[in-house]
Amino acid sequence: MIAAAIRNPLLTLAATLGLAIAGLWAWRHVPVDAIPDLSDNQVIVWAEWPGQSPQDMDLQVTSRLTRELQGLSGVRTVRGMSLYGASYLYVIFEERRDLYECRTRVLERLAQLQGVLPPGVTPRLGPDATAMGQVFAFTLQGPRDTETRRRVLDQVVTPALRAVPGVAEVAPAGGVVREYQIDVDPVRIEEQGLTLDMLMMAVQRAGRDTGAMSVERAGVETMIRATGFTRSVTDVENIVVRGDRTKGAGVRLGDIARVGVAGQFRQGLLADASQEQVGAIIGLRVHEDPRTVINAVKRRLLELGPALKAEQLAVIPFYDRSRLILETTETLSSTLREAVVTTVIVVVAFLLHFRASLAVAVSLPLGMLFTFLAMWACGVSANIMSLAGIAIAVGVMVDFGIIMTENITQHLVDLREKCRREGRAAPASPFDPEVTDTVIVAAREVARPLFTSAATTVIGFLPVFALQDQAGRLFAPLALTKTLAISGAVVSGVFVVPVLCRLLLPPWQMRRTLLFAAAGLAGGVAFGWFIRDGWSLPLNYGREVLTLPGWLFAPLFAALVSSTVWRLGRENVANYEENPASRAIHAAYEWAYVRILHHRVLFTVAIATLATGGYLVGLGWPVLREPLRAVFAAAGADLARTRLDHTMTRAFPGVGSSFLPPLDEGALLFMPSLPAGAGLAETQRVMTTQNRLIESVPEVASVLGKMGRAETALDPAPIGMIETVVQLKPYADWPVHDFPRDEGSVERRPRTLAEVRAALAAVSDIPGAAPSWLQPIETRVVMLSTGIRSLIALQVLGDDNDALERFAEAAERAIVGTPGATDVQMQREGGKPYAEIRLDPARLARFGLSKEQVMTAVESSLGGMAVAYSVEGALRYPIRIRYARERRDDDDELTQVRVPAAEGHGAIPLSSLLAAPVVHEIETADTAALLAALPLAAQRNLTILSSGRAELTLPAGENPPASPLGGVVFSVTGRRPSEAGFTHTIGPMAIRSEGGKRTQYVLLNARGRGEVEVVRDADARLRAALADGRLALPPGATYRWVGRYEQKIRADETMRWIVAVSMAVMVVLIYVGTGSWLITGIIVLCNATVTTAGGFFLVWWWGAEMTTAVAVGFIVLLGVMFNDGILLGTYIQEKFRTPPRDVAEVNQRVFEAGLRRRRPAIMTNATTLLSLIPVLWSTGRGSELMQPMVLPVVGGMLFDLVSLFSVPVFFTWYWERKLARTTLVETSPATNPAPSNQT
Amino acid sequence: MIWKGWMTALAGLATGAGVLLLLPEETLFTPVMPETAVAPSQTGERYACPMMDFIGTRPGDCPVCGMRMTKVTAGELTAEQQRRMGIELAKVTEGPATATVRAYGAVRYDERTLQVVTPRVAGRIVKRHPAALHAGELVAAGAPVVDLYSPEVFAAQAELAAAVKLADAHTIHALVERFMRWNLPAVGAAIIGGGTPVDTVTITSPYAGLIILPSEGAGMSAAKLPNVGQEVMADTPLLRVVEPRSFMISVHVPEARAHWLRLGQPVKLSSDDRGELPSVQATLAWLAPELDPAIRAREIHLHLRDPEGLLLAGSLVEARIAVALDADLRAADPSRTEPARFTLVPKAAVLSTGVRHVAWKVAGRRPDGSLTFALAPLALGPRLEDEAGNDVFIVRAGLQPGDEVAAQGAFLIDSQAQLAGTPSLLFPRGAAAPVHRH
Repeated sequence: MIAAAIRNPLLTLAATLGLAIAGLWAWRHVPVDAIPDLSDNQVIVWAEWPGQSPQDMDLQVTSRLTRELQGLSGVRTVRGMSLYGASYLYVIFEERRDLYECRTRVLERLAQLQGVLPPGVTPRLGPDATAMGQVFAFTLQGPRDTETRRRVLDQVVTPALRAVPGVAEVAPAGGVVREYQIDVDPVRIEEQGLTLDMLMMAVQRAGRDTGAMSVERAGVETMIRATGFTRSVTDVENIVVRGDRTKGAGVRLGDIARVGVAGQFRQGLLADASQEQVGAIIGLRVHEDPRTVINAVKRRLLELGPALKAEQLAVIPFYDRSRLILETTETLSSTLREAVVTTVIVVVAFLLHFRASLAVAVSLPLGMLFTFLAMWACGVSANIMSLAGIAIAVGVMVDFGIIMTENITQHLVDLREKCRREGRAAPASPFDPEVTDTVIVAAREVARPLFTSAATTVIGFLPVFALQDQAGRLFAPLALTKTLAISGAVVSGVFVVPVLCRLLLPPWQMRRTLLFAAAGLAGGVAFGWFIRDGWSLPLNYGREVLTLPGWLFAPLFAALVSSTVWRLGRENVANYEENPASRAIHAAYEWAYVRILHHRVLFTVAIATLATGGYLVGLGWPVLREPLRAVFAAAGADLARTRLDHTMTRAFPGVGSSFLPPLDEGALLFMPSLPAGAGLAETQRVMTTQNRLIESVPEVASVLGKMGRAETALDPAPIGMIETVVQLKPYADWPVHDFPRDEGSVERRPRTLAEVRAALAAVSDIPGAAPSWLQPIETRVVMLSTGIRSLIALQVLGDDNDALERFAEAAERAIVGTPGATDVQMQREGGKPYAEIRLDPARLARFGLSKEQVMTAVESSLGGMAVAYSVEGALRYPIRIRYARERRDDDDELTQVRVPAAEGHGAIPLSSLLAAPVVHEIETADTAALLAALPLAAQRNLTILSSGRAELTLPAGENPPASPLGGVVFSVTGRRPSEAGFTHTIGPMAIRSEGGKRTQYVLLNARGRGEVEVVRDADARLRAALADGRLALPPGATYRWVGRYEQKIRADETMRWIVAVSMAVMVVLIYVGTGSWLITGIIVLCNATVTTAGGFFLVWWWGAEMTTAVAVGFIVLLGVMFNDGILLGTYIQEKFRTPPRDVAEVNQRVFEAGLRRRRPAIMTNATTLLSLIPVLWSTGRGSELMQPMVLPVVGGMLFDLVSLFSVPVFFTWYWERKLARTTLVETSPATNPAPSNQT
Repeated sequence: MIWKGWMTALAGLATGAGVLLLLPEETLFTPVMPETAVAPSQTGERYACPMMDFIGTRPGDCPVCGMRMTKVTAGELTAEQQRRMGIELAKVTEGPATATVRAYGAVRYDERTLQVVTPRVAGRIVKRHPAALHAGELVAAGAPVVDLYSPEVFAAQAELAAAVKLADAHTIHALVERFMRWNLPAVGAAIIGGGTPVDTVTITSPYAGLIILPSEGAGMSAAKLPNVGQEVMADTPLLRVVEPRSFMISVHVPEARAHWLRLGQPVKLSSDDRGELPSVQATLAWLAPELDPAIRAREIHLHLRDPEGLLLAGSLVEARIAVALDADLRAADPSRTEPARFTLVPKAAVLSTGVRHVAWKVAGRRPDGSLTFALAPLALGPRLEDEAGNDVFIVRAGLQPGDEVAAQGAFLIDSQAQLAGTPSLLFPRGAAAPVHRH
C-alpha cells in the first residue's frame, strides 16, 4: 500500500488535496464554543401552580413527580427544587444516552400523570438547552415604561427570535406583564349588598368575541361578528355588576372598585445602575453552534430594528458569548499557528535542509485538517479543550515526518554513495525508478515503528477517556483531538511524506531564471506584507505590544523568504549527521558527557535533589510526609506535633489545587446573597445600589443585575437571589492607575484582572449581602457540580423537614470536635416568615362553613385569582380581582377577610374562624436562660417583656414545655389568644430534594488533615453517637457524606488509576522496547522522577494550581518523556548483546549508542518543547486554560535532557561495578579501574 | 564485603529506631500544637471571604478561592457603609395612641328629625300645593300642603256658624277647640269673623324641613305623595319632613374592632367624590347593644351635621373613627381630656416574623459618623396610625422614647448579624448558619 502510494504520487497528492479541502470545509463548519458543555445529561421538568408555597409545591407536585420519574430506565437521580409557585425537577440520565430519547421517555411518563397532580397543574418539559447554553442576553432600552417595553418584547421580539434555528428558548426577564387589577374594599361592597363572588361572576360573564355566520344581501356576503372581549380598562370598568331594568339603572364595576392596569406578581426583575430594564436571555439548543446561532440572533434583532425604532426602543446586549468564543478561538488559532511556525523553524534549524523541512511540515496541517474532519463527523465542537489537544499534539505530529524523512534521506545518501562507488551519476529525477525503489524501501522500513510509536502515544493517553463527569466532559474532547491529530499525522507521515520526499529530496535543480523570478516574487510579496504593519508581539493580555518597525523587518524577512525559495530550487541531498547543527550538538554533548561521567556521584545527588525538590514544591510536604508519618505512627509519635513538620508544611505547602483553571471570560457574575426573607423591594434596592457602586469602577463597561428568575426552567432562582453581569472593557481600554512602590516611586500601569476583581469586591461590599464574584460560565459550572460550596457535607435524606433539621443540629454537635474538621455548621436556610391560616373546626361548625369555602375566599380575596382574560393582539392578559392593597398588607387587615356564608346570610370575617395561637404569659427568674433553653422555633416565639416576665406564643393545640426546662424554672401565669390570628412560622424559601427525599446538610471543611481521614473520624463519631442514643435518626432517614470532596476523591481516584495504568503500560512498553530490566529501571527511576519533578517545578514557578488540566498535562508528559530513554536504551542494549571486555569498551559502546540517538532525541524533544512555548507566551483569552496543560510538559521536557545522560551514565556505572566485581573474583586484589574518559 | 555494607546499614537503622523509640518526643522535636488541635472557637466568631459567599469559623484563607477572609462584625457601620446600605434613622416617639376604625356607610336623613304631616280630618284632596308636588321640597312651617274637601269640616263650620248665630258660647268654645285640635284654627276664626263655611280646607305643614319619600326598608313603609282626588282618612300621613342638614349613617364594625368603640368618639368622614369632608361634624351617637350574628359585626349610628350641604342622602362615605387608647390598651373614654401616652415606633423600623419583632437601635455614635447598632427585641402592641397618618406600633417593651432606630436598611443590618452569627431576627441567640447558597 505504501508502495502503491509512492508509485502514484499524483493520485496520492490528489487524494490528500481532496482530504485537505474536506478538512478545510469541516474547519469552517465545526461548531465553535468557548469550553465544552459540562452539564449533566438532564431533562428538566417544571410545573407552575401560582401562589403556592414551596412546601405545598414540594408535597403535591415535586415529590409526586419525582416518585413517578425515578423509575424510568436510565435515570441516575432526580433532583427536585420547589419554589414559590413553581416546581423544578432535574431528571439526570446516565451519560451517553441520547438526550432526545430521554426527553421522549420523560414525556411519555408525564402523559400518564394527570391524575397524580392537583388539578390545573401541568408539568412541562424544559427547553432542550442547558444552563451553560445561555449564550446571549439583551435588554430593550428606550424612553418607554417597563410595561410597554415588556409588551413589545413579548409581542414583537420574542416570537421573532424563537424562530431562529438553533434557539431553544427565549426567556423574557424583568419588566412587568400587564394585568387588569380590580381592587375591592370588602366593607364597602358589603355595604352595597354585594359579595366578592358576585363581582367575580360578573367579570367572568364580561364577554367574548363571537361570530354568527353571515347574511347575503344582494349577492354580497356580510360576515356577522360580535366583539365582546375585554380590551381596555374602560371595558373592565363597564362590566355590569347589578342592574335593574325596571329602574333603568345598574352598578358598573368602576363605580364600586378601583380598576387599573398594573404589573403581574413578579418572579424577578432586571435593573442596571439607574433603572429597571426589560430583557431576554437566549438559550441555545444542545449540540448547536453558539457562534452561528448568536450571529443569526443578532441578524434577526437587526431586522427588528425598524419595528423597535418605531417604539423608540433599541436592543442593548448585556451578555454575549460570541466575543469570548471569538477571542478564545482567536488565541488558540494564533497559538496553533505559532506552534506550527515554531516547529517548522526547529525542523529547518535541525535539518538545515529546506526541501526535507517542507516534506516534514506538510504532515502538520494535514493532521489538523484530518482532525477537523473527524471532529465535524463526530459532532465535537471546536473549543479551548479540543484545540488545545491539537496544540499539544503539534510537537509529536511532526516527529513522524521527521523520522520518515530522515530515513529516506539516509537511504538516498546511501544510494548516492553507492552510485559514486559504482562510478555513475546519482539519479536526480524524482521519476527515476531507482529513487522510487529506494524511497519505498526506506518508507517500509520505518512504517511499522512509526505506527507502533503513534500507538504507544495514543494508548498512553487513552486513560483520559476514563475520566468521569465534568472532568470527563471537559477533557474528552482534548483526548479525542489529540488522538485524532496524532493518527492523522502518522497516516500522513507514512503515506504522504514519502511521496513528497520522493518528489522533493532527489537533487533536481530548477532553472536559474525561473528560480530567480520565483525567489524575487516571493521576496517581494513578503516585503509588501510586512512593510506596513511591521511585526508585533502582544504582551500581558495585549496591553503592551512589542513592535518591530516594518521598514526594519520587511527587508530582512524578504531576504529570508527569497533565499529560502532560491535554496528550495537548488538543494542537494544532504547527510544530516554532518550539518553544522548536528556537529554543534555533538560537541556540546561530548563536553557535558565527559564532565558528568567524572562527577557521577554529584550527578546522582543532583538528580535526587531535583526530583525531591520538584515533588516538594509541587505536591508539597503534606503529601510527601505521609510515609514518614507512618513511621512516626509506628514509633508511637505524632509527626504532626513536631516543629519540623510545621516548618516544612509552611515552607512547602505545595501548589494549591482546584478543579478547573478559571477561564478569563471578560465578564464577571456577581451574586450577592441576601437572607431568604428578603422582599422584592429591599432586594431591588440593594441590587441597584451595588450596580451603581460597581459602575463606578472605571474598568467596568456595563452592569446589569437580575434578581429572581427569568421565565425559564433553566433559572430556578427564588426572589432575593441576585445575579449581576458585569462586562469589563477590553483590556486595551483599561485606565492607568498609580501604584506606589516600596521605595517611594510610583508605578503607572493598568490594573490586573485580580486587582480589578478585588477592587470590585471592595467597592460593592454592603454589610449584610454575602458576595460571590465569579464569571458567568464558571458560575454555571460551579452550580452544576453540587451546589454545595464546602468540601465535605453530611447529607441527611428524609421526609420530615423538622426532624431532619433537629437531627442535623444534633449531628453538628457530635461532629464539631473531630480533629481537622473546621467550619462545621449545619446549613440553615434562613427561611421566610409564613403566616399560616389554621382553621378551628369548632368555629367552622358553628357557622356551618366548609373549609373549601374558607380557602376559596382566602384565595380569591388575597391571592387574586385570574378571573378572566383580556385579549389584546396576540397576547392575553389576566383580569384579577382582590382586596385593595391597604386591606391586605397587615395581619390585622388580613384576618378581616370576609368568608361568605350561605346565600343571603352575610359574611363571616376570617378572624372568627381561626384557631389563633395562644400566648402563654410566663414568669421566671431569668428570661435569658429560658431563651437559651428553648428550641429554636420556640426561641423565635418568646417575647421578653421585662427581666422576669415573658410571653411565649404557641400554635393552638401546642402546650408549653414542662417547667424545669434545661434547669430553668418558670411558671405559666396566664394564657390568652394571640391578637394575631395567624400562626406564624419560619419556612423555607426553596425546598431542594434528591430522589424525592428532603435534604439537610451539615457542612464542614478539612484543614490540616486529609478529607478522607476527617470524614472517617467524623463518621465514627456519628456512629458512636447513634449507637449510644445521643443521636436518633428520624424514621425513614438516611445519611451519607457528599460534597466536592467526593468529586475530588473520585477524580483523584480515577487520576491515580489513569496514571498507574499509563505507567504500567509505559513500563511494559519500555521493557518491550529495550529488553532490559536494568535500563527500564534506570529510565523509570531517574528519567521519570526527574522529568515529572521538572513538571512540578514549572507548575510551581508559574504559580499555577494543581488542576485536572495540570494532571492531564502530566499524562501528556508521560506519553512523550520515555521516548528518548527507550530509543537510547534500545541502541545500548543492541550494543551490549555481547558482554564487554573492559571498562573502556563499555564506555566506547555506550558513547557510540548515544551518538546515534542524541541528535534525533534532542530534535524531537526540541520540537515537542518549542511547539509548546507559544502556548506559554500566548496571552489572549483562553490561554489561561491551556497553559496549565502545557506547563508539566514544558518543564518535564526541559528536565528530560537529563535522560540523555542518565541512561549512559548509570549503565556505564553498572557495567563498571560488574566488571570490577568479576575482576575482583577472578584476580585477587582489587584494582579498581579508574573510570576512563577516553572516548 | 557486601554483607558488611548491609550490616552497617542495618545497625544504623536499628540505632535510629531505638533512639526514636526511647527518647521522649519533646527532646527530639519541639512539640507544637498542631492547627487541628485548636478547639473550634466558641465565641461564635465568623470569617467571610470577600469574594465568595463562604463563611468560616476561623481566620485564614478561604478554602474555595484562597482569598484572606475577613472577620464579620455585625452592627458596626461606618458612614460609608451606612450610605451604601441606605440607612435611615427614625426616632422612637412618645405620644397618644389612636387606633382608627374604618367603616363605610350610606348617608341617610337623620331619623330623629323626621316629622310627619297628617291631616286631622278626613276628606278628599282637591288641590296640591307646591310642597306636595315633589319630594325634596323645602317647606316652611305653616306652608300649605294640600286643599282638602272635607264634609266633616264643612259640617263643623256650619255648626259653628249656627252657634255663632245662636251665640251659644258653650258650643262655640267646643267647636273652636275642635278646630284647634284639627289644626285648622284659622278656619274657625274665619267663621267667627263672619265668614261663610267652605267645604275645602287648606292643610298646612306645622314643621319646616325637607319633604322626603322614604323608601321601603329604611325603617318606614313605602309612601307616596298625596294625589288629587284621593280620599284621606284622618291622621293618615300626608308628607314626611326632615331636617335637611342633619344626616346619619349606620355602619357595621367587625367584631374584632367593636370593643374599641365608645359613644362620643370623634369621627372623620370622606366620600369618593369630595374627598375629605372636614366641615361635616359627625358623632358616634348610638352603639348597637348586640352583634349582628350574620355578619359578626356591630351596628353603630353616626350622626352628622352638614352645614355646607356637601352630602346627599344616599351618598357613600367612609367614616374613620379615632379611638384614643387608654393605658391598658382599651379604648379610652373620650370625655377624658388627657389620653394615655405610649412609646411608638414606626412600622418601617420593625422587622417581624409575625410573632417575633425586632428593631435595630443606635447604641453608639462616634464623631466620624459611624454608628453602632444593637438588636432590640420588641414586645409590641397594636398597629396604629400616628398623628401624621403614618403606621406605628405601640412598644410594650424593648425601646424607650428618644431611641433612634434604623427605619431603612434594618433588613441588611439584620442580615449581617445572621452572617456574623450574632443574635438576629430569625436566630434570637445567634450562632446560626449563613444565608442561602446559590
